[in-house]
Amino acid sequence: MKRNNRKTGERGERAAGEMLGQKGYEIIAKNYRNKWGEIDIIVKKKVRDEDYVMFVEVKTKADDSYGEPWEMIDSRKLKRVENMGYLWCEEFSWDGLCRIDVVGVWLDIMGEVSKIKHWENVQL
Amino acid sequence: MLARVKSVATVGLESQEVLVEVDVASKGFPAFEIVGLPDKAVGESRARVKKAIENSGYKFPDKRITVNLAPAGVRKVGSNYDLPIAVGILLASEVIGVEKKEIEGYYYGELGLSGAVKHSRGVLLVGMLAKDNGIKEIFVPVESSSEAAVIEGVSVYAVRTLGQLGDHLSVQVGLANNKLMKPLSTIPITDVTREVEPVVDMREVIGQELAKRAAEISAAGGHNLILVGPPGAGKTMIAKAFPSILPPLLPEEALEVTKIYSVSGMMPAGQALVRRRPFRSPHHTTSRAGLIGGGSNPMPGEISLAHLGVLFLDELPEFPRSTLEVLRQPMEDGVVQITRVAGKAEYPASFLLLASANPCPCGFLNHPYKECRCGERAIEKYRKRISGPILDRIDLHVWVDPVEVNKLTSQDNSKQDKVESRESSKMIRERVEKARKMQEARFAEHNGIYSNSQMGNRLVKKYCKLSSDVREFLTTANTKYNLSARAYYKVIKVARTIADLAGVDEIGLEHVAEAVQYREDVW
Amino acid sequence: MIRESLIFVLLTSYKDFRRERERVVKSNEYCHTNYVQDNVGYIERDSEKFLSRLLTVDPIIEGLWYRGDYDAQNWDKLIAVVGPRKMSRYGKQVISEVVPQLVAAGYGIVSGLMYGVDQEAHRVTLECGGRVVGVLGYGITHRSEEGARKLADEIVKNGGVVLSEYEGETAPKVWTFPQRNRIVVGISEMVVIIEAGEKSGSLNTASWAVRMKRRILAVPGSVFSLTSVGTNTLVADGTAEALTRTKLREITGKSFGSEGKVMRDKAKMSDQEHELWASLKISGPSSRNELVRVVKKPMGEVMATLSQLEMRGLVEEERGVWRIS
Repeated sequence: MKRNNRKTGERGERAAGEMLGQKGYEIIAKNYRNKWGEIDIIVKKKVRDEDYVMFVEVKTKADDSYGEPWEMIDSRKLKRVENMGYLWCEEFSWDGLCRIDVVGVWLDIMGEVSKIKHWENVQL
Repeated sequence: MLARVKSVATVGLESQEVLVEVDVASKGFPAFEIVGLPDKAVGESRARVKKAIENSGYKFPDKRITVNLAPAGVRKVGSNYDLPIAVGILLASEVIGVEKKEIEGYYYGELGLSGAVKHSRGVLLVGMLAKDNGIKEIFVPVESSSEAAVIEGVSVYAVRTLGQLGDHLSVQVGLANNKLMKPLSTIPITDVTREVEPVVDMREVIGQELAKRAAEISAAGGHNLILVGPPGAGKTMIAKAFPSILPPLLPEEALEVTKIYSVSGMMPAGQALVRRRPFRSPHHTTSRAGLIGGGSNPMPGEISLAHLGVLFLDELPEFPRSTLEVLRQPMEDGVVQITRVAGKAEYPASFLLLASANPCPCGFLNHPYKECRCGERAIEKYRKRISGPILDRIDLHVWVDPVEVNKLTSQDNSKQDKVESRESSKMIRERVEKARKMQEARFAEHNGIYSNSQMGNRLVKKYCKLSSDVREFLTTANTKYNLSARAYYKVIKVARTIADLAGVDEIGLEHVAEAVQYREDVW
Repeated sequence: MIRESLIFVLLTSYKDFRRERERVVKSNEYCHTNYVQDNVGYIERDSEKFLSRLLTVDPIIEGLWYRGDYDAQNWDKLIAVVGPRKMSRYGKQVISEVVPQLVAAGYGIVSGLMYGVDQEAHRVTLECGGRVVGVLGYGITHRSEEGARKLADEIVKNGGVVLSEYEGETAPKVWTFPQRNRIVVGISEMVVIIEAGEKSGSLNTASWAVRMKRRILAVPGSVFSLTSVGTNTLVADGTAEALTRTKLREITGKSFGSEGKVMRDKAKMSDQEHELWASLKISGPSSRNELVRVVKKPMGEVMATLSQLEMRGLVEEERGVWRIS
């Protein structure tokens, strides 16, 4: 998978954060790093009356090609995100429900966001 | 939230209570883990349960679900844990708002993706275990439920879908009031084992009076029988008609047989009990395991499926000797030992052996109008293929004529041989039953002995007193036919059964005179 | 094939035979006195007791030694029954079927007291009380090793006659048997050959029969059987008629089958037994299923009755087929 440069990634993350905020997600961390790796965005929201913390992977694509999350994230990556997640929960004493979300951002030739998609609760 | 649902593990013919514990965590990432099943089964069960729950209109919890089947030591195989796991999940995630998270009753059954509960094996055993353990209710697939309905004192709920069960459970907290399920009414066993239409009636067999007589004696006294004759003589048809002259299964016997069939997955959907005496006719290429049972989840073999019925070995010389060897012990003891991973298991295998054989490889030796093409050595070799020990355990050896159609349709005989004038299975069975009753009384104090064929030499001496003229006849017969000791006792046992059929206590000359003709001399 | 063996036999032995024959004739009187204690007698060809049919036999029969009651013997209607030393089971069976038939039709049986078919034919004839004539291929009182002497004694005891061309204890020679055969054929009306291998001595008998224009009947056998090669060939090349059931019926004027052996013991049968026995006699060899349909009794009862008849040797069974013994 091609990742052009940091700028593309940053652009995507910004767009994702905006979208999540608009959807009512509370952003509680960005670019969280630990020994397992990095998580792009961490958000929180009440789902069906229960508080969830979502660990969001943002995938930005600069070219026209379309893709599905399973092309963007494989099970190994998901496992790593989960492990990162558990470590974060320990660090920040979160005793509640967690899940992994994936946001895909497509940029056009000009570098503008042409499309954004949010997959909730991506599971292994 | 932790929920506890009871279920049953059936391994072979044994059953044991199993506890399904379901924990739905209030933290962590969604996951669905099952502990206690073989790995391969886990993935399949997860897929079924998840889809079944979703398709039943419930939200599958996006939480960390851990299922444990306890105790860990018991080997659990099969898909029947789907239902208790699903119920456990629904309870633990409070999708069904039931107060108690620990519910009574046994839950058992495979789930389809739609949420339908599918026909599963071993349901009868679930009912029996419930009764033994004082469990009042069982929830089992609707198509298997009749099996358990014969058990008194246990309420059997025939579950069609997961949703239906969910509603039923919800009623207990005041939700969905009219969705409460009603248990099945108990089916009295005696109803089920009443007169059954035979698959093939003896009346349909043309001629073959000798074979029919031998069949009657076989059925009455439990004597194994071999029919020797050319192809097309009607040996198979007589074998097929045979079970219909056996007395009907007693209720306890029906239960015993149904257990075996239930565990083997051979109970048709909706059937409560096996009503007819079993008739099994394995092909001569059947493996040893197929014949005596086995496999990792030890399944009953052909001989157990023939328990309390008939095992018909067509073309006996075609069976490999090594395969026939495994029959020896079960024929002696009435049970078969199978080695499992967890130890030895014993399955019932008390069957009547019926065998058929051609007189030679081409089958036409001694045929009235067909040439036998076999050389003398080939014939000898062919005869030797039936092991001595198996032949030894066969009391009745009978020659079957080819059907002489031209003779039967000739003027004199057509009057005699109309269908109506031939005896029906029912008529023969009545005599057989009377003879069996005599044996029942005779062996009342002898545990495990039900028929004359089972008598050892000691019992023969006790119950088959011979008058002097009978003894004299036997002495002549002994010399003339060169009988072995074992053959001698066989003749007496058969004579005892013939006398029983005649309703007579004392063995008379006419009984031994007939009995001696069934000796092993047909070849 | 027949002509060859005939010529062979005649050529090699004729010279020796003439010499021997002269010696025998010269010692005639002496022999007669010495052997009276053995009940041996002698008939010369000039005697009026000498059978006229034997007068035309060539080479000439000068006289015959005999044991037994020659005068009382009925010399009409005699049939020769011959075969090889190596008798097969088939041959034995044939003899047991054919000989009683012939005896029952009033024939006497002639044979050569040879081990095998000859002795069996004699035995069976004795068993059913028929007339026996035996012709030896050696001296009239010669003790052969093969039980022929015992049989000869038995024949004589039962009113039969044993003949020989040779005096006293003359030992057999290569030519004595073929020569004996001509006497066997000469006495008889027809010759029945039970079995013959490819080069069997019985074929020699056949060649005499051809020469003396006697009717020859040969029993056909299995095409695979080595013991029937000779007989089959005789039938095939027309030298002999095949002794089939029909042929036998023609000769005896009776039907094959249930007449069997003449009753050895008129055993007392119960009504039940007799009814079954009679039905079996009429139907011929039957299975039990067939019998049951004829007598219309339950199978168990029929079987019990059959067993009792079998025990007394009145009926016999083979592979499910029952027949009168």
